[in-house]
Amino acid sequence: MSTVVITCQTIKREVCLAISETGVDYPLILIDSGLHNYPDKLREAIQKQIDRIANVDTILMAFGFCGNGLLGIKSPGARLVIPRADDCITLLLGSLEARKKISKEAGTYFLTKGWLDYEANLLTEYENCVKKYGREKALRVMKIMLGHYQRLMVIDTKAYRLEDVVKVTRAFAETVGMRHEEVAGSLRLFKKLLLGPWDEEFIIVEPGRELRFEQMCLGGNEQLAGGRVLSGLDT
Amino acid sequence: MMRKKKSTEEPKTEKLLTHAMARLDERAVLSLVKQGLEQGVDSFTLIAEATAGMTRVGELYKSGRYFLADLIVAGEIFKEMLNLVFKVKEVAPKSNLPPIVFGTVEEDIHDIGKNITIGVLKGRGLQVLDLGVDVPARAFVEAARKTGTRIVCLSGLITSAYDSMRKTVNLLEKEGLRPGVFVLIGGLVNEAVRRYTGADYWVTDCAAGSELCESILLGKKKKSALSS
Repeated sequence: MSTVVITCQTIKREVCLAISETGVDYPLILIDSGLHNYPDKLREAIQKQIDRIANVDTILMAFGFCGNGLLGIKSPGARLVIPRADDCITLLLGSLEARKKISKEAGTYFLTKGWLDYEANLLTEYENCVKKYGREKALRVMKIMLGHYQRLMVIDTKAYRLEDVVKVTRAFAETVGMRHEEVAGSLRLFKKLLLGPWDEEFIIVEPGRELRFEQMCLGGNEQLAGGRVLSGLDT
Repeated sequence: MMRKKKSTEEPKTEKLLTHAMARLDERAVLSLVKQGLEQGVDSFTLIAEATAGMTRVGELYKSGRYFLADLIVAGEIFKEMLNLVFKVKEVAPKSNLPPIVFGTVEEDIHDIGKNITIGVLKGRGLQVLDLGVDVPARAFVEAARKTGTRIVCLSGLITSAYDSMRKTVNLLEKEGLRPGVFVLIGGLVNEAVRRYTGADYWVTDCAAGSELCESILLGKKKKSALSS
């Protein structure tokens, strides 16, 4: 039985830590960060990577659904195991419940070192905005952008030095008038992906099959409304 | 400079307005609109040209040349432009139809796309009832019943939003309102999401979404013609 893990740069520190703590020796393949805002490009990058893998039984996908970025992925020869997580914040917090609970308390913008290093985030938006429009207008824009966010929260996954990140994020939160907090992360879902069991918290896509949208949805068992098929508008 | 009834000059000026909007030049946009209004250019023509600029902004964002902050700046300039037009001219609504019901669905608080689209809809002379963010299915249904709307727009960016959209469509169905209402979903959506949620249309572009709403309200889209 041979297994490989695919993840993205943004959460590689956490995946590496989970690999080290579980003692598995699966090769780790990294996908470039920065694609989660472009689900089609992300899907293309992931599929291209899967297509390059041969002679493997299982591919562990250390990803959240990333705005439908995983929709339709398939492998001709390996089964895909995918955590049932809406995005990587849920993975980093250890469960969807944990994420929902925090988000219910207050509109929360999450960050980790990976997000700071590799992704377009609030801080990079602010920097770009200051360069282009000046500080005063940038602050006005950020106020609109953060309209319903009250809190900036750094997830302490123990995969990086928290102090280095907090130094930067605290200053930023002060600048834009957000509350700053830290929360303990969890490697639970990463470790469960590596070791199993792959129960209802995971989707298993058999070789040759595609990941379907219905498998990705987190909701209950309601029937589809109406069942009508109408034309969509691709814009 | 704008000149009323001089067809050789109007297109040039109109292109300037689109161009100014696309490059997010607030001063130029407002000054061109002021000139246009002084010279009697039709308000809807001005708004349409600015909307074309917004479409260009959307394209530049999708191609990665504009950032989220630029989208917000575009939305603010557009809003300023509308205020200017509406202050100077009384723009009559295009019809007496009930307002479009619009909101970000339950569990989601992203509203940048929603707010820009609402601005563009108002620019088209359409009435909108904005329910805000994190809107429960029941609130959409009550608003639809109260207003008698023909369009419910559901916005969402996160994966949990898909289930909230589906819940809303199901509740509209359960309450007997679905046959008379077009449901549009917008945000991080595609055809698979539309099928899952049971909506009629999905849109990822503010200008195209507002155009679709107008077509529906003007009776250019028939429900029966859409069913396959």
